[in-house]
Amino acid sequence: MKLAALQATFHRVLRGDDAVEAGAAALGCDPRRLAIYRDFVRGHVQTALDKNFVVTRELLAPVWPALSDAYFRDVPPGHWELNAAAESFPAWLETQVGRHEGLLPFHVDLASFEWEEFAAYAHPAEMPAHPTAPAPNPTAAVLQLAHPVAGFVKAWNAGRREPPPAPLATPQLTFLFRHPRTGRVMYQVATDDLLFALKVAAEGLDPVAAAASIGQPAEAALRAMAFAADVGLIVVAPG
Amino acid sequence: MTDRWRALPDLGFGLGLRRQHFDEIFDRRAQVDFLEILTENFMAFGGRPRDVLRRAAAEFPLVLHGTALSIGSVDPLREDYVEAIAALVDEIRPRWFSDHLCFSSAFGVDYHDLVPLPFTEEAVEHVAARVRQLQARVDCPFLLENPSYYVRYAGAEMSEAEFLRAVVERADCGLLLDVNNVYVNARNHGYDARAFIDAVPHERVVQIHLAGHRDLGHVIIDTHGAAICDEVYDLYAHTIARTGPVATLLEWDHDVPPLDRLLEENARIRETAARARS
Ligand SMILES: [Fe+2]
Repeated sequence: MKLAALQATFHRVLRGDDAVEAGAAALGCDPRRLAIYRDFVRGHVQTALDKNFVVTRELLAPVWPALSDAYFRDVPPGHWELNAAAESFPAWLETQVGRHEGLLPFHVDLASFEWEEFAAYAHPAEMPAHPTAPAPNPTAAVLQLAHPVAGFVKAWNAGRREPPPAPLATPQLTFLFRHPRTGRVMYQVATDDLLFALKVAAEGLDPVAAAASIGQPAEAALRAMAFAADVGLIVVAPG
Repeated sequence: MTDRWRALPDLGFGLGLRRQHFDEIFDRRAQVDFLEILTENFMAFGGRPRDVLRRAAAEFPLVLHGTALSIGSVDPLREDYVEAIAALVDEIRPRWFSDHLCFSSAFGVDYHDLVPLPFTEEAVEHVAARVRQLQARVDCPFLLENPSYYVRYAGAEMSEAEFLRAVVERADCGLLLDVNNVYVNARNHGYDARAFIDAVPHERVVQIHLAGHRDLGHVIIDTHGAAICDEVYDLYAHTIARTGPVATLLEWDHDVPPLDRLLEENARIRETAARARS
């Protein structure tokens, strides 16, 4: 068999398009051994899902094997880094709402949040080492979530198991980023103070003048900047 | 052209750089001769992994080892992947980089696993041409590793050892000889492991891998998650007696034990190599 035909045959088995027996007959190999590859390849993607969506997986435990099988079939991994195979999962999960018992729009938001936690951890951006002025944290992502996921995750991490929350009246903006000093992944629900600090940092404004222009006192501006720097959403010179 | 491969240094006895040991590894500098970096575990990452990698590059000799090059795939070599390797090589200056004689992606899909190639003339030519293409792009010596594999295809035109030799000679690359893989393959496919070791081009062996495996009875799985067994130690001694001293790395990727346990295993590797040479 030519190399291209061999790889196409193997590929169809790995993707679940052909049965192992059919593939093994065409390749002239032992079906039981061929099945090892089929199971490993699917298992790698499922491990990536399990690792990146720890809370979502636990909440959806009864349907998780079916979800993870269907995701593997629907979304072939197209990147050499294994975690990247999990990136499309939240968007795909959204298409599954109504098709799996217990799967709610809340779980889609939760999965988006969990993916962004990994993305912030792995983000290739370098922190500015000696910023001369406050700068936005280059690893920060902002999620617009219809459910109060940050509060749910906070309770979860504290050991409290709460029921899936109802949607909010207005979507919540949530920042996820790697802390410039500790390297830990952090999240913050957007507040007026954080948005102000981010705007000042992104546009290189003078915080006191920027506060004055919206009728706020200087102390409030400085307090907002200090808080944003402390949580790590903006990066300032050390000391 | 084989002098080039003989001239690469014997780096001694190394370990893989694992997340579990990020803090500790730098305190054990004296006990670890070199570090192997799993390319895909660092290449796309910033933050802590990147910081640790930079420090490792400053304090240890490094070698890069990948699983996603897919040198045998019928897809074109992936530009983004090769470019990322070239950039990483530029940054951390490893002594060499390596990947497996297999395909790990095809038709635009990644398997994150190593699928064997058929032992045919067409495959030899295909891989050799791609290795030459790669070596023209990345300014660093390149080694191919003999992978473990579980299926043998009908229609082989040569033995596995002949296939391996033909590829590395025609590509003019180095050989990363995984002794555990030779043992696992010999058991799974019923051939003589020592005869295989005798048949590979010793002058191209730049690095050796040793690892543990799992015997399921009907098949042995190359898990990298256990101690090296006595038979693999014997095969390693047999290898070193033929190749002379070669940089040797303990691969332990699953159920990674504490660093002390790895150093203990590495001490046994060191002793085995010393005995084989005397
Ligand atoms: Fe290996």
